[in-house]
Amino acid sequence: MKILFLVITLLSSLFSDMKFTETKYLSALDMETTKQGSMKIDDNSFTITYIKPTKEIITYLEDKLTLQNDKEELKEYTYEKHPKLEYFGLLLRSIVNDSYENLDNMFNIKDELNKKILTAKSSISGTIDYIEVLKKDNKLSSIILYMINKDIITIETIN
Amino acid sequence: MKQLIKLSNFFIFAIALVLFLIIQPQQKFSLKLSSMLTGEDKKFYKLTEQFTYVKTFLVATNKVSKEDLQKLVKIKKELLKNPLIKENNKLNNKFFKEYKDKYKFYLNDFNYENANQIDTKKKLQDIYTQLTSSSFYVNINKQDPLGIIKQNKHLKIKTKNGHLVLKDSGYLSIFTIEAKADEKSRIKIYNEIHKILDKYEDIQFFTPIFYYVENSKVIQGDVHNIIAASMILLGILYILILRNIYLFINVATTLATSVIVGQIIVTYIYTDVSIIALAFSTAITSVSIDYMFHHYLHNHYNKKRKFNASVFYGFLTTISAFTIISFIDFPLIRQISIFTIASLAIAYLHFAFLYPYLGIKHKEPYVKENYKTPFSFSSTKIILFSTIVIIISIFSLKFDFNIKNLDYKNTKLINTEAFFKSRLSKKKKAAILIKSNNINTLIENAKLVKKIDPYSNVAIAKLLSANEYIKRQNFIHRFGFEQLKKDINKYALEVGFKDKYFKEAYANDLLYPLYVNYTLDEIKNFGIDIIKDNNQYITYALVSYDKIDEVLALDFTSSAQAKVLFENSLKRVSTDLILYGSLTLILIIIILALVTKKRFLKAFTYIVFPASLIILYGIFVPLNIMHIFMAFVIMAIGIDYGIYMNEPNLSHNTTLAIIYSLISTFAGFGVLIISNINSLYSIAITAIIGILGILFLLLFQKRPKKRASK
Repeated sequence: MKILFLVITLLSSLFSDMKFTETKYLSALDMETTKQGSMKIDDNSFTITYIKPTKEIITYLEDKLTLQNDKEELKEYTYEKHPKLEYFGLLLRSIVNDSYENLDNMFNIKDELNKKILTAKSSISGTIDYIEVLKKDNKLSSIILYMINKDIITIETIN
Repeated sequence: MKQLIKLSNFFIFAIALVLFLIIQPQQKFSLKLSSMLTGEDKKFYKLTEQFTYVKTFLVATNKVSKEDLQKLVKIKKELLKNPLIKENNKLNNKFFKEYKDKYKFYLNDFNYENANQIDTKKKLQDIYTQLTSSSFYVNINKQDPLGIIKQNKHLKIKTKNGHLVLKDSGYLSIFTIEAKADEKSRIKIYNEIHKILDKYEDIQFFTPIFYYVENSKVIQGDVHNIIAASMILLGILYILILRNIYLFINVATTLATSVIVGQIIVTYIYTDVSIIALAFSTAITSVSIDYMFHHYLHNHYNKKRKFNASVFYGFLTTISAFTIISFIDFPLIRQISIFTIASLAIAYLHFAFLYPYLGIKHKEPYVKENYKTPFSFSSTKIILFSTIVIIISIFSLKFDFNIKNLDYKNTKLINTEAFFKSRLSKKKKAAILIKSNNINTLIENAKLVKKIDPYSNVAIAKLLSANEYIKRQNFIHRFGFEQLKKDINKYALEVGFKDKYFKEAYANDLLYPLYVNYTLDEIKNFGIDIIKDNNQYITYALVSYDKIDEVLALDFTSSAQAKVLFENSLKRVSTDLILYGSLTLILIIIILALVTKKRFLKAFTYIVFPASLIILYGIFVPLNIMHIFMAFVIMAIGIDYGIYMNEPNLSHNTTLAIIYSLISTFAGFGVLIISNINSLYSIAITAIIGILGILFLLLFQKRPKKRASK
């Protein structure tokens, strides 16, 4: 029992502060940008902290998102005014949490070996084409978002 | 031969029963409220039943916690296993999205008057900056990179965690129920939904289909209970009064025959008979039995007596009154009247012409002596009192023209519907129908409605009309897109974009698409409600209450609100009601004057006094059509008593027959008061008031001095 508890704690700590590298291929410019950071999931918030190339903290709260840049300036975006912003946080949070029920409205989900393919439903098909979620040793290894305008965002976890 | 005649009552019943089993009139009794509607209103009511908004099914949790979301997702999965329940995808309809995409330069406003107002290079530089420095993902619109098209405002429905959220409540899911509009299919889907959802706590769910099923269940149960209660009560009463089992069995058989014949005739004339007429049918037998009481108590069945003219006049007046009332073009009243005429006629023929040959023995009544009252009132005083009451009350009378109020009031469902409606829309809206001979004009008409009431929900108004297409195409021609495209290609490379990245920008197939030739199926695929009815295309809209009069003044709109349709139906017959009601009254008074002659005033009290009491009741409770109808029935019954009381030597047995009749009428109609259906309740309360009035007259009206005890 104690071992099980330890395993669960270890696993949850891993997911609660997951380090990652984000590579964005911008089709319009035919160039790639790379960021590094970590993600943290709490009961009421989901935080993405970028440490490279610049420090930036994006916090998804219940009804709004806050953005803090390296100059410590804080900006707020409510979901009511910017509904699309909520979806990206929701998407990442659900994938990292391995709980896909929230994505039911947006994606058709197909399971393959060590892989999940999320094909966009008409509600978001104007932005996203599909998403690949890859697992390694039963742990999340990368999320690849194929956007409708040929941009590709790859988020790879760092062990 | 004599034995054969004695059994003839049963033979007639057997024939009626066989006919009943063959024709099965009970299958034509309808629980639908629409069976009370007439003409165009009935048609519109049925049309509204075909629209998907009637089939919308809403499920909401009470809170927005994580558990609530998990619960709703689970519910959704379970519900969608049923092939008749589909997710309502109106917001994200694939076909409609494709359509909107194709005509995006036609369906949306522009941010600019012409290309000269746009600084193309600066715009492209801004996009470049956003792409390289924004903290969020920037999605370039390759078809309109310069943002010429005005973006639509976002939907007012709130979302949380990617799910719809109902204001001041929890998560919301919207479904469409694709069950057929018949009773069986509705009951099946109702049970299946409840089987799934009843195990979940703290959720709300509603679909208008529930009204049909729940109300039908209640009405059906109610009518059956009433018929059973009425039959048991009248049965006990007749056994106690008559103390003659042979007579009782014969009476029960005759009444059953009269009800069966009434049902066969009314269902032969009407394909859709309101079940309320069926409930009324048992009650009316308590009037039929009057004919038996008068013949029996005056020894017509055990001695050779001459034809009982009083009962005949009474019967004739009642039949004539119902015949006149049946001219009112209101299905429920017509159905009840036809049923009553047939049923009373069969009963009268039996009691007047067959029963004297059945060998019925007479048993003396319980009381032989006339009762004495401590006080009494003269006819003049009663008429004076009644006239004053009528004059005072008539100006304060309230009427209720909403037939829906005659239906069963399903408070629980009404509250659930209100719960969803109040949270989904800030403004109270009313349903209307928009009509036209062709789809293009229908779209134009819908746009006019939207122009009058910008807050209205008119789905079809979102489509491009032919006029708009031509106007916009001319505007696009003049806008200067060709120069813009050249500028984009020139500056994009300069700013740093990939070569030919914007090749899709302002493409000709988007700027100059062919005009769509709408078909019925195409529009239905868009998730927009449209039906074709006799070369007319019809759609529906929800219009704000403060604009409804202005919208309904247009010649291509009509109300689709059940309340208004019912009111229209009633208002259309209100002139009929006044005309034929007055004719009935005049007929009653003429017959009464002819039959009673010098004793007219006394007999007249049997009409005017109960009528005044019913009118008095109308001050406190708005009178509906069933109150008014029953008031005429009471007057028709009242005249019977007026005629019977006219006998120059008023016998003790006449009084007794009237009292027995009153008790049975009271039991027959009074039992309807247990009903949850307002129309039956209204009949009962009117009957009770009227009968109590007649009883009062019987007990406390001054009697003639020359009066024999028997």
